[in-house]
Amino acid sequence: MIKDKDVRINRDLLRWILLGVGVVALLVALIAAIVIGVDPNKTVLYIALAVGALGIVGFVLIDPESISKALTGRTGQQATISLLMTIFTLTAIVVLFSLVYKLDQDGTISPWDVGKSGQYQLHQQTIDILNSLEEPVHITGFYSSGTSDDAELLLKQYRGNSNGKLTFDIVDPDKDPGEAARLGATRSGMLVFEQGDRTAQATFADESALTGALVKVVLGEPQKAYLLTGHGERSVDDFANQGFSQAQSQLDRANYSLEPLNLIESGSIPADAATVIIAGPTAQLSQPEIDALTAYLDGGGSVLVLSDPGAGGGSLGNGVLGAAYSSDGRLLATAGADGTAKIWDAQTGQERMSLRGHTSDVIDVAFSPNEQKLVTAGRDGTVRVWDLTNGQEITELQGQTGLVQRVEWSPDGSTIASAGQDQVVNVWDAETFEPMSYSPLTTASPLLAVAYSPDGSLIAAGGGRTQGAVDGSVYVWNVADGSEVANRTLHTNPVFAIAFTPDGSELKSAAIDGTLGTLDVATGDGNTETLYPDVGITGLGFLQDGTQVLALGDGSVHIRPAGSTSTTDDTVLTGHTDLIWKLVVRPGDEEFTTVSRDGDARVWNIADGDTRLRLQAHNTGDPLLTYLDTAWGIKVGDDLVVDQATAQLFDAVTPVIFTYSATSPITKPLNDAQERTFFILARSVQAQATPPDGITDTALMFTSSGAAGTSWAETTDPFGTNQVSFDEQDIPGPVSIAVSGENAATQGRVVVIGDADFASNQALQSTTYANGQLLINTLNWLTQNENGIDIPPADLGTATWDRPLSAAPMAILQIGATCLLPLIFLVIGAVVWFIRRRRR
Amino acid sequence: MSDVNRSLHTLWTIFKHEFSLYWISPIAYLVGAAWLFLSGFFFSRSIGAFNQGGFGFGGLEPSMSYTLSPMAFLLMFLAPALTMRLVSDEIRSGTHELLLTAPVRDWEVIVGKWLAVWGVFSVFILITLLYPLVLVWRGSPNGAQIFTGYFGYWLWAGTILAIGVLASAVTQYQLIAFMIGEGVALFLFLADTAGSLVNNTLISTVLTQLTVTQHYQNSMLDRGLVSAVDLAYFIGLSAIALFLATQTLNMRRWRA
Amino acid sequence: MIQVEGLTKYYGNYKAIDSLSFHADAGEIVGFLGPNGAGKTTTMRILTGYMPPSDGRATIAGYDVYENSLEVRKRIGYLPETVPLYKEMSVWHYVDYMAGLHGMRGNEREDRVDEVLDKVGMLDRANSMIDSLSKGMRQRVGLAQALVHRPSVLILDEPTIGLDPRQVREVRELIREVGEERTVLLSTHILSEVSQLCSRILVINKGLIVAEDDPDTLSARLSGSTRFYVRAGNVEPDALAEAVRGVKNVVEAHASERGVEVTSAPDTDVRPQVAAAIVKNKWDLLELKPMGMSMEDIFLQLTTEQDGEMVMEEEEAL
Repeated sequence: MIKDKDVRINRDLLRWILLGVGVVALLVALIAAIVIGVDPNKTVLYIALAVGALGIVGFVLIDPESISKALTGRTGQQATISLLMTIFTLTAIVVLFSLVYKLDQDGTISPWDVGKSGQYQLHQQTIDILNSLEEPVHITGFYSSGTSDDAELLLKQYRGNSNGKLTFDIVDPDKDPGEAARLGATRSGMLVFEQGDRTAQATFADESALTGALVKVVLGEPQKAYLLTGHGERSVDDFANQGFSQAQSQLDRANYSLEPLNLIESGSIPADAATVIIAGPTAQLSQPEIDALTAYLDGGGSVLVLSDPGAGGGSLGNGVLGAAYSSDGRLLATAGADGTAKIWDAQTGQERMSLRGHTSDVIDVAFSPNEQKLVTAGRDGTVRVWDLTNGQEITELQGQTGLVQRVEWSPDGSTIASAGQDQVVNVWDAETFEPMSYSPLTTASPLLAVAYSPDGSLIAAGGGRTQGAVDGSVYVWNVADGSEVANRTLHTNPVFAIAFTPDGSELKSAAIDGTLGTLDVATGDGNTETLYPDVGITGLGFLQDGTQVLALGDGSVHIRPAGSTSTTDDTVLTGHTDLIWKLVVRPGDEEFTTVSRDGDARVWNIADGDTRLRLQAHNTGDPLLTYLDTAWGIKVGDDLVVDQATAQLFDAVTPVIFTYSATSPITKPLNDAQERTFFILARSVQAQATPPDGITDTALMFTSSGAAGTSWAETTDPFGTNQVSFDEQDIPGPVSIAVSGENAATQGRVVVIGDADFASNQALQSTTYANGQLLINTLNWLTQNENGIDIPPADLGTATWDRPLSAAPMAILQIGATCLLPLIFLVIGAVVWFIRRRRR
Repeated sequence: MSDVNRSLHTLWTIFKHEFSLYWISPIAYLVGAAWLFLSGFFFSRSIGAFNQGGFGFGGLEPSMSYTLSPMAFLLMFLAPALTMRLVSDEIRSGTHELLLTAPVRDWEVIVGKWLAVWGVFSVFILITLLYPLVLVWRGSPNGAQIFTGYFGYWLWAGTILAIGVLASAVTQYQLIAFMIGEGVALFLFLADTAGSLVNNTLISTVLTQLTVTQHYQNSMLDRGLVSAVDLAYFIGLSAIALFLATQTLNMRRWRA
Repeated sequence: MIQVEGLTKYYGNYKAIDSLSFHADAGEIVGFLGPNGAGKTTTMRILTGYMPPSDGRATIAGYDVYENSLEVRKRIGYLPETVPLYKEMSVWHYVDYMAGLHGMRGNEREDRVDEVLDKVGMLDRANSMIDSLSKGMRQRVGLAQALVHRPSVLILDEPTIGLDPRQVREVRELIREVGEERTVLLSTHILSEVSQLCSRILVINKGLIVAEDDPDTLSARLSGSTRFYVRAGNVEPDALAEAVRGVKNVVEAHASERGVEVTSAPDTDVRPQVAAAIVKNKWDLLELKPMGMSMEDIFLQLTTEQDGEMVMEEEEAL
């Protein structure tokens, strides 16, 4: 009897163990199959299945009787019934849940919005559009896993109202980079709409953005954004760091097509323009262009202005950069940072002519000996020849590959020479405008000055390396054949200006370190004398009697008698407040002209040392910025924005912005998602306190706030001096760098942003900053009235904390919540316990 | 009286009995005090953060989520402490023999007990309604969010307690009941993590939908929305747990 | 009122009760008599719907205890052997709770609780905590909850166990009182209890009913009568039985396959007389064998006042 029982027990144990093992094995097989995927070659799977089968079979075989007893008989029946009921009920509950889930996914049932915030309800306009869809639209939302819930709530509504025409799915850009690339989704949070082969984008999942994109993609034709050209604006064909080729492809995907527009030629904005973009002009717009823009805006158009600091003239620009006298001394030409070269009556100071064409600053000018023509060199890298009878450009001289610093016309009028950063001197035939056969003349250093000898047989250049092995050299060649006459490194710092002595025997060179070099042309020997070591010499001119006229780095002019060996005999003329770019002596020797970084061109009388004329014509201000100020109340600052708080991310002059207007549709999505944008060299753009009638201005973005000196707009020339610091003249932070303006009457809209680089190729590469989003949002807002869709952004009814608690109430709260309440509870419990004890 | 009537009466009788049993034993006060302490801790911490404008970064919108969300997780530890005695006590003291031979249905016993322990928890929750008053006193909170936050929290408590009832019915050892309750609750919190590992979208969706964060923190808590799917989740899970508990109780007749 | 046919229950492979059949009519007090482990509690648990039978069926008031368990439970009052109580409750609330579970409501319930507590003599302790009561009091409270809803059938499992003699007397008096209006099925291992209270006694051992008699008959069988087999040659068993019956003090004799079973009157030993009668009839006396354990023997195993584990020998069914 005992033995029997033992055997029985062992058998029981064995069969239950076998069953357990078998079940576990089957579970393992199941999980493996689901998670890893059924792979017929996986031996693990097979082994698990085999073990499972064996286990169950063993369980049955060892004691078949108990199994049959368990299955039949009342207990068995009941167990079966119970099991079936359980399966049925569980299945029913799961099915019901799935049903509810499906209805919710379809948008058939939608959540109850307790607060009636309306953010998950669609406006009638959207519903109408959805109802009228004919071709299917597909939306792909790019969201990292877990972040798409808000979007999905809305998207379900869209789908539910579309009669099946609108579908959507959510793609994780990390998991499916191919799809993200295909649709151009640069970051999480974007939604791409597709209908047919058109695409549009929404950068934020709220109704106004989504419907906006929907309308765009349904409209069909991309909207035209015209990019102004002709003033050095950024180009969509430019693939370099500063170019806008990326911007074009991003906007392309947002269903905008960018086209260039030369407003000077066309005279007016085309009728099919959805918006006009002025992307970082370096030269001023002309008044007719401004008029065309005004007319366009008054007709309900929209303009985006991206304005870089230092552009458009003003004292931060380099003002007047070059000057030249005609050989008869009657005319004076100036080269301006506003992109024009101006011709003046040298006697009266009256402006005779203004030559436009350069797309950036004009750096130097030179007259042809017969005063008929003028040659200009510009920061745009071009050397242009102008007809002074009619003020038209004749031609552009080809050949320079870098920044051209100086240009000269040979005294006999036969050649034109330029010298620049590319370390060569280009010489052209002044008749044919073809380069001379020996051109270009190569040197070993970047060149800052060029001059012809008085008889025109020689041409000299001076310059020097500014990095590495710093030096200053002068070079002389024969004009006839380009053979080198002299090549001397006379200075230890770059040569800024050169001039032949009136007899042509010597070449004088003035260097930044204040040394004056003398090169004997015949022998090639040279020496230097140190004259003004602290200030440096920037300009050089000779009177016929050998008197030297020197312009110094502090803006003063020193007149040295011929043969003077010290500086104590100098006559010092003061007036300029900043360094002098160039000094030219008027033929006749009674006057000379200096042009300075302080923006002035001064004509001096040598005899009495006074400034006879001050020419400030290049500083009249940029017409575009003036228009924005007067018509829209938007003031573009003549400054450079500095943000110390974000300096560690890039640098102090590349502010990172995370403070946005929470109400403007342009920046609200950025604000809500706490996105950041960055700007490379920006200027302040501020909304006036009282804008003109009918205009509403909104400041869109601000630099960091904090104690004085955290961020500011630097108004005193930071390009020149090395250190920047906050002082009284500067605009204290937080500085506004973008403003949007709306004219309620005309429906015209403008957005002015104090930087063009934020949308450059370099900036748009970054996926951690929302620059691209900002660009698209801006355009969307500008073109919004084109669509006739006006869905206000949802008001989320954000909760606020109005009156923070001070320390004492805070402490009371803490103690109350964490100690008092629980204690009261415990006390009640103790009291109850005591009462019950006593009751016994 | 009609069947429905009778069931209601039975539910009410059992509810009253169990509810009062809780309040005359120390466990409800201990758990309640612990719960109030933890809630108070998170709440005062969040008030501190609102005062400073954030937990160290960016703006922070004042709401109850910073309190209720961690509490929803901690419920996992507190709820089983209350439910673990529910059925096991009856078994150990033999009173289940009375219940099983009384003219009451098994599901009435289970549901009655569940309602009682949910009622105890509701008292705890009601006490913490003091907290939103602070928000109202010092700011302008989003009333809808607070409402849905509490509502969802209350529903989640009901669900966790139902699971605890099931655990208690399955075993007479309180400790094991406690651990079972924990295990299931943990799963409900972490299922979506498992879901992100799986390739199959169906399985992945199922696992995500099983996760409580999907139906509470992501839906009701932050947004002031009550979605039918979320209601179905809580009600469905509770129904499953209570149904299984009933079946378990029923099985005791067969096993006895 | 109570009808049981072929009731069987297995716990796993262990057969706790084997094909029991009995009945209890309305107004009867029926006693289940048997040692511990005989199957009394199992039978009662099946009747009260606590567990289902493995085989057979039982009905109470016409309702099947398994199919219509709820209807059955509405009509019965049950006091389990363990007298389970909620120790943290007061007497009054406990009985009130049980009344509520049985569907009573409102003022009617309140009044009834008072009434039944008074009936069991616990009204003055109505507010005491149950865990402060003596065993006897708890028993009475248990009885109260079984009575509170006025059931037509009472099922009491060892209602006087562990009580002192005075308490036992009180409880028995109570049972007698309530038994006047109801059907009562009670179980015990105390012989005197069933003889005093019950109109019929079922003797159960090892899951089988070994005897079913009114108290008198049972007493007779208990108090010392012997039973034996007798076999004789040259005679048919029936004739032999008839002849044996003629012997003085033979209470009963009938033929069975093992011979003629003879039951004698209490305190008599008729074996010599039977043997003499056989011889007188010129039949061969083949065998005269005791019938194994007598009723008396069985009940000697049953202690009168104490519980105890007893070793059982095999017993053949009658």
